[in-house]
Order: sequence, then structure tokens, then C-alpha cells
Amino acid sequence: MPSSPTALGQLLHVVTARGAISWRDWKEACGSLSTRFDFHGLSPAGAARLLDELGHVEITPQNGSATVMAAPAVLVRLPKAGTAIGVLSGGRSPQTAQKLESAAVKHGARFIRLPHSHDRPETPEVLRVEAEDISALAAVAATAGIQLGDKPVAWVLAHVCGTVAAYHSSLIWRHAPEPAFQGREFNTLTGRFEPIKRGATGARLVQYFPRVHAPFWEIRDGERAAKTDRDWGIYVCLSRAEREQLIYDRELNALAVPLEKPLPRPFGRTLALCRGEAPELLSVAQTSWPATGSDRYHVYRDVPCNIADLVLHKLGQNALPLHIPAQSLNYPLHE
Amino acid sequence: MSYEIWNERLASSFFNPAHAGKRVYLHVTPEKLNALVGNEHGLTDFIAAIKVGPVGFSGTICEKALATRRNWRDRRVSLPPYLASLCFFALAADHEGDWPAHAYYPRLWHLLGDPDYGRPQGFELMRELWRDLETWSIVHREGALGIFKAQIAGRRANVGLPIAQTILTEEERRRLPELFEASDLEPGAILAPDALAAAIVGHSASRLRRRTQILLATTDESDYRAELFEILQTELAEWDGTLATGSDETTPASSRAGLRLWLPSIDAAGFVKSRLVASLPETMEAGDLLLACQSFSGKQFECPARSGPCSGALRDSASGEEIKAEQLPWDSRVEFKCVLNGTRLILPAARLRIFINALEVAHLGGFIETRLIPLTGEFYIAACGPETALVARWGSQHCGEWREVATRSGLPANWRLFRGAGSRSPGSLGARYSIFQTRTASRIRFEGGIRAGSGTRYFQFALPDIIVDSANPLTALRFNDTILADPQDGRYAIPHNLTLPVNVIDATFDDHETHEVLYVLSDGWTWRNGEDCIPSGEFGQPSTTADTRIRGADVQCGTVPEYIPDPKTAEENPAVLIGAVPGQIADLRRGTPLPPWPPVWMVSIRRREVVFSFCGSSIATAHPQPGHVEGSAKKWSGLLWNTRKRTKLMRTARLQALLRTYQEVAHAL
Repeated sequence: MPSSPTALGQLLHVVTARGAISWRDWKEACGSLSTRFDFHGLSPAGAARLLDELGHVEITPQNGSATVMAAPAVLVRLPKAGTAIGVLSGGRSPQTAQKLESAAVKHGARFIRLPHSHDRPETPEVLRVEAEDISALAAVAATAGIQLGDKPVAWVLAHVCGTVAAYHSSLIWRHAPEPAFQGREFNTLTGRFEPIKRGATGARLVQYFPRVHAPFWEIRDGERAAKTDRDWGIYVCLSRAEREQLIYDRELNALAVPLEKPLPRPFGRTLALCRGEAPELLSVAQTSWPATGSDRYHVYRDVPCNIADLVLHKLGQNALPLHIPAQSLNYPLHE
Repeated sequence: MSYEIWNERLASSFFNPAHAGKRVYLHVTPEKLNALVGNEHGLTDFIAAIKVGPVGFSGTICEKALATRRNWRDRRVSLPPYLASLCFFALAADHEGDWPAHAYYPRLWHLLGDPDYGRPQGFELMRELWRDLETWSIVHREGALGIFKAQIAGRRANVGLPIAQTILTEEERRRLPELFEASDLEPGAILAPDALAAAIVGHSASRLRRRTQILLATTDESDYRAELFEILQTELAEWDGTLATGSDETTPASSRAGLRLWLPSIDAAGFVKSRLVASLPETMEAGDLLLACQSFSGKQFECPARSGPCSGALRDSASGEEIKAEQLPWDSRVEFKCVLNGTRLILPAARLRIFINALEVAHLGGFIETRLIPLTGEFYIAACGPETALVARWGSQHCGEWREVATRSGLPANWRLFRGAGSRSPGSLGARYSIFQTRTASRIRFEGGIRAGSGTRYFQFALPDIIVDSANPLTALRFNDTILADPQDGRYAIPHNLTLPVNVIDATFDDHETHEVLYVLSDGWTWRNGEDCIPSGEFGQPSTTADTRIRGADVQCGTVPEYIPDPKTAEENPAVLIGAVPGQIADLRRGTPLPPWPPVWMVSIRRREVVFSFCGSSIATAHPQPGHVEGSAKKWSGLLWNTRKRTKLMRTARLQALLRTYQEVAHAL
């Protein structure tokens, strides 16, 4: 049965209709839709990030701002054993579900329409096709005019994503004293912002606010500094300080990421596309974990150990061996 | 200059790419005409051209203008050929002279040098031209040269259109942010006209024309005054809180935003939670704010970002604890300043504070502060000082429901909280406080839809709701002549089956009507399939090489190893894996590691049945390969053949046939 669109489902229609929209238009669209749809506390940045992780959109930084672009429609093969399962990712119109359902029926595949990701009522509808094998899935995709990769996208992305060490090497480093701009320093242990500790040693992640130009992030190590993406910067600093922050439960195939230390975008997408759904929210209060420095986590489920190991290795992280509860969710979300 | 040249010059000055997405008013002054002609005889020259009119057309001024409209788009004319006439009508509205303020036609005739004073012949048909200009700017040019709205000032259908163009000059409009800032007004605030006038009148001296200042200060109601407030309110609602950047590029743009009180919970025992939220324009990022306030020495606060009209509750950046709003003096102005970028967030002083259901306006629990008492539904009012007794008396006399909440926490000392519902009239309170909906001009507006590009056309799949603001009860709301059912929450949903590219909405009241046009994008566009998506690379940055190109889930890259699924990810819990080559068998129950060969079957062994689940990539390429043997062929064939009578049937015939092939190979071994 068709379900009424969710906040992010409607946003996905908007970005698909427009192809690409500026950050300001994106925020305006979120604000406008918030009068009718419940975002469950999600910010415009959080909404864009979630759609990016699901492969629905691509976010590109542009001139100190960003552009949100609809990605091509792809039937994402999940990295699961057994039945071949594909989940629709990328831009979509309100008619896409009907088109995919017709194609699934034609090829004897099972079409499943979930109103949203598990326990994330703000996320887009999950359109899922189950077929007896990959060739049947490919036939469904071809009929619907949608791409399908021969390998699970999560597996391919896990191989394609760069390592933290490679990212560090790719930065353009320069020798310069610390600028006198106002700013704040990211505490990689607590995930909170603190005043800049000028002159401190070791790799530090600092956000500067110049008087006229847009704010920017920098990794600073003594007199060396390089502009960075915030999320990569966090994992560079964590890796250099040998701080383990991620939790992987091998029994449950679930990987937990502290909410305030989001993964670099390609890794977030890798994990989300293991299930084709948005990560769930977990409050530490609902676990028996020792103090980890973080109160809330995003939990990516159905992450096979071969993909999890690859992701952890590339991020320079050793997983904390803790058990992730099967159902422990915390709403509403306040980022 | 001829009519045609005037038309082209005026059209190009009002409609050009610099005005893309911005509202355009045809405000014509003698100075502007002089500038366009390049000498001091602009007005005389323009009037002469209007009298002569466009070449090839005859009749009165209005008849000639109307005639130019006919099929003008087919005549390969890029700009509306009647624009000079509309500019002339707008010029007349602003023409100075010894006439009553409401007199329009005598001004028009005086400009033409004619002693007449009545309505020019065909003037009532000029509405068609104003509407056509709106359609041209929005539908045909998609707002790329500016957006014109055929807005009527007040309730005078014919002269209201030219009058609406002249209420504020371009210079006055340019200085409005400065005026709002000086008046300490919150960007996006919705205020009653009297409150808006009271706030800005003292700061308007050097920023508005004398005529506008008089209009602001007078208490006499007029269409001009109503229209002025309409425009001021629209501009304030759209103001993003910034003032112009300094000319030297090193002076930052100054910006400000508003703070509001939020009561997340009011329980029956009188325990009230009060918090502070920010109301930020689209240009500001809540996450970039780190706030300090004199009332909280030594502390800094974060502003959690949310989608919608307000942020999450302001919280201590060190402890994460939310600010308890009762710690602030609600009757004084409170300013928070961002230590990072200088943005100021201001909670204005007030001794009456109104709260409405936060779920409806911001998807928050509890009640959030607003400026106006709602005409329907439940609300709370907090008051202090002499206002308390006034409010208590007003509520008991003019509200359907009214009671005081005996609060035990959440409010500053000496503040009292009242709950009301169904306010009937402003009573004596209305004369003292601008907290009631007392618009003289009724207004139709749209909320919640999504527009395409810079124009004002909405996508069919994301139509807005219709909201009618008026102090008068609405008799009927028609959408393309169909009466819409009265909604519970004041938001009229647009029926999709009634929409056309151009939709006329008519709101009828007891004594007047008001109209609005809704444009819907109907053709000339298609759903995109990633054509505009710039590929990203291995770090998520825009890709600069052809090696790795990621666009969502579409990943183009070099060779990636075959994927061997982890059996643990199967729905069934597998015990044994079987490959295509006889002997390829891995017993996971005995701790055997994952095999290097791709498994074809996952086998779960139960007491009464054995379940084979296909886990290969493709049935077509998963046939058994009996030609050679790896490992223990005996175990491989034993599991397949010996358990055949306990084997659960497969879901599909193709898989059943494949398993039978394996069983036959096993039997042959």
C-alpha cells in the first residue's frame, strides 16, 4: 500500500525534481516542509547527511557552502547471503515505487514497501525487492530503468573509500602560526567544542571564524596546518591519538558510531547501504557499557564482518568489543 | 522618445537579471524618468509619449494599452508592450498636488494636463494588464528577471493596483533592514500593525520619506496605511537579519536574530518547564553559534539546529544542560552574542507574553511564544506588574475558557500564568497592547509548499496550504471557483485534482473579497536521474580523476574483489556451506573459517528437515562442476544425496531444479 510521504521522503522528491539545489534553498525547503512534516528534531544538515548516507543524494561543498544533488537511481544489492535483496537508492519521484513494483511483479520478485527506515519515521520510504538470485534482480532493475551493480554497493564502497592515512597525506600542509581568528576546538574525546588551546601539542581539530569569510576547519599540529573536512579531521585526530571510539558487535553484525563523531561521508554510506536503511539511535543509558565519552550512538545494522573490518581498518580504529542491544532507541533526536 | 523606446527602457530597468527572484514594484518617479532619458525633461517627454501611445493603435490611453496586449507574445516582442502605460498609472498614484489623500483620478488627469477628474474610459480593464504582467514575470520568465505581483492596495480594485506600486520608494526599501535593526525588530517577526508602527516610527526620521512618516504616525485608517503595513510586514518577514557588508571587504556583515520563550511542559500540579529557543533566518547556521550573555557570566551556550522555525533549546556548551528561562528577566531586553561571529540573538522586553501550541508551529511539545493572541484554540498568557490584573479581567470577560495556572516553577518571580481559549474580542486590552489580529486588509498566503527555482511556481507534488489572515470572519474560500471545506486548523489543503497552471483563489468576507493567484509548475521540466550530480572521490570530495567516481550508490572504480557473503547475514542460520565443485563443503558448526570459494548453498540441518538456501550470485552460473573434485567429495555428496528425503522444497521451480541437479551429481559420485 502506498504510504504518505515522510519529511525526508518529500525532501527527496524536491531534490529529484530540481536536480541540484543550493544550501540556502535546501534549508528553505526544510523550513517550509517542517510546517507539515515532522523532522523529529533533525536539522537541515542532518537531513542532508542522512539522505547522503542512503545514497539518495550527493553533497558537494561549493564556495564555503554546499550543493545537494539527486543521485542516479540504483537498485542497491545488499551484502547478504541467501535471497538476493535490492533496495532502491538515489533520486525518486512519487511514481517510482509504482514503477518498481510493476517490474518486480513482472519478474516474479517480491516487492516490499516499508513506510520508513526502522524506528526512523522521518526517513524516506524503503523500497525493497527480493528475488531468487541476482539475475532476477537485474531483470527487475532493467525493466524499471534503474541501474544495478553486480556486487553489493557497500562492498564496493568499502574498497573504494580512502584510508585515514591517505587522507592525511592528501591534505595540503603549510607552515604558519595559528591565526588570530575566533574559533573553537573539537575535543575528540568528548565530542564537544571547547575554547582553542593555542600552542597545545599533537594533532588538533579547530574551526576558525574569520570576520568576513566563511568558517573553516583546520587540522593543526604545532606550526603545521591544513584545511580539512570536519568528519575526516575527527578520525585523523582520533587515529593519531590512538583513541578507539567505534563499537562492533560481531554477534549482531551491528556497528555503533558516536553521534557527535560522525563517520566521513563515504564510510557512513558504506555502512548504511549494508541494510539500505538509516542508522538507528541508541542511548548509552539503555546499555550496560562502561563510560565511553559519548552518550548517544548511531547504530548501523546488518554490517557483515568482512565490511566492518575493512571500514575499521581504513579509519585506523580497533572496535571496542561491547554488546549492542538489539532494540534501544531514543527519540526525539536533538543533534 | 517614442512610447516604444520608453517601454523598453522602463521594462529593462525594472525587469533584469539583477532582480532575479526578487519582488519588483513599478515605482516611477520624475527622477527615474530623467535618468532614463538622460536629461531633465524626462517627465514631459514621458507624458508626451503616453499621450501619443504605441504606433499603430488608436483610442483612449487605456484602450491603446489594452490593444497592445493582444497576442503580444506571438509578435516576437520580448518585453510586455503595455508596461509604459502601467508605469504611467503608477506615476500618477505618487503625483504630488492639492488633492485628498485617497484621490487618484484627479492626479492622473493633472499629469496629462487635462481638466477631467473621473475614471478614464476602460480603466477598469487595466487589471488584465497587471495580471498579465504577473503571469509573464512568474510563469514565462520564471522569476529570472524579477517577480511582479498584481497586489491591490486596500479594497479599491481599480486604483489599488497602481497605488500598491508607490507606497515605498526603492531607496526606502533599501533602507528597511537598517530601520528594522534600529527599531530592535526580530527578523521574520509577525506583528500587529500598531505594534509595528510603534516600534519603527521613532527611528524613521532619516530613513523614510516625510509622506511615509506621516502615514506611519497617523491613527486614521486608510488603504494607503493598510498597504504600507502590509509591505513593511512582508519585508520584515523576509528580512534575514543582516545589514549590508562594509565596503572595504574587511567589515563583517552585522546580523541579528530572535529568541523566543518555550514552555515544553505545563503539568497539572503547576510545574512549568521554560526554555529559550532561537528563531534564525535561513542565512544563519545554528551550529555556528556559541553564545555568551551578561546574565550568565562565564558561560557559553550552543544553539542546537532543527528544521523549522526555531532551534532546539539553548544549552550550556560545557555541560549540555539547557538554560532554564525563568533565570532571565522576561520584562527586560536580553541579548546573547555569538563569540565566534558577532551575531546577536535578542529576547525583546515584554510584560505580556503569549504562548501557542508548539506542535502546530514547530513540531515541538508544549507551548511556544508568539506575538498575537490566536483567534481560535488554546493559548497561555504570562504577565507581570500592572498588566496582570488587566489580563485577568480581559480573559474572564472575553474568552470562552479562562483560568489562572497556579505555577510552582518555570516563571520568573512576580510573573503569573493564565490559560485561555476562544478569545472573542480585544476588549479594553486591545487599545493598550498590540497582541490581537486587527489587520484592516485581509490577506491570502501560502505555507508549506515547494517552489521551483527562483520563481513562485509550486511543484504539483508539493503544493502549499492556503492560509487566510483576517480579523473578519471568512464566508467562503474558493479555489478555481470550487468552495473549499473549512479546515479545523485554519490551513486549507489544495485538492490536487483541481489544480491548473494558474489558479485563482477568492476569499469572501461579509463586506469584501480578496484574491490571490497560485502558480503551479505543469510542464517544461522532468524528474532528474542524477544528470546534475557531480561525482565524488574516495574521500567524498568532488572527483578530479576518472578512477573513482561516486554518485550516491552508483560507484565507478577499478577492480574490486568478488564478494563472498558472510553466511551469518542470511535469514536462515546456516550450519554448512556447499560450493559448486564436489568436495567444496565447510561445516561452520565446527568452527571452520569462511571458505575461499563462493558458496552456492547454505544448509541448515534440523531434526525433521534440512533447508537448502541458495546464496550464489546467479542461478545460471551456479550449476555443479562435476569434472573435478576439491576436499571431501564424500561429505559433499552425502549431505546432498542422503538428506534428499528430508529436504524442504525450494521457493521457486528454478531453484528446485538446480538443487535436483546437485543431488544427481552427488548421487553419481
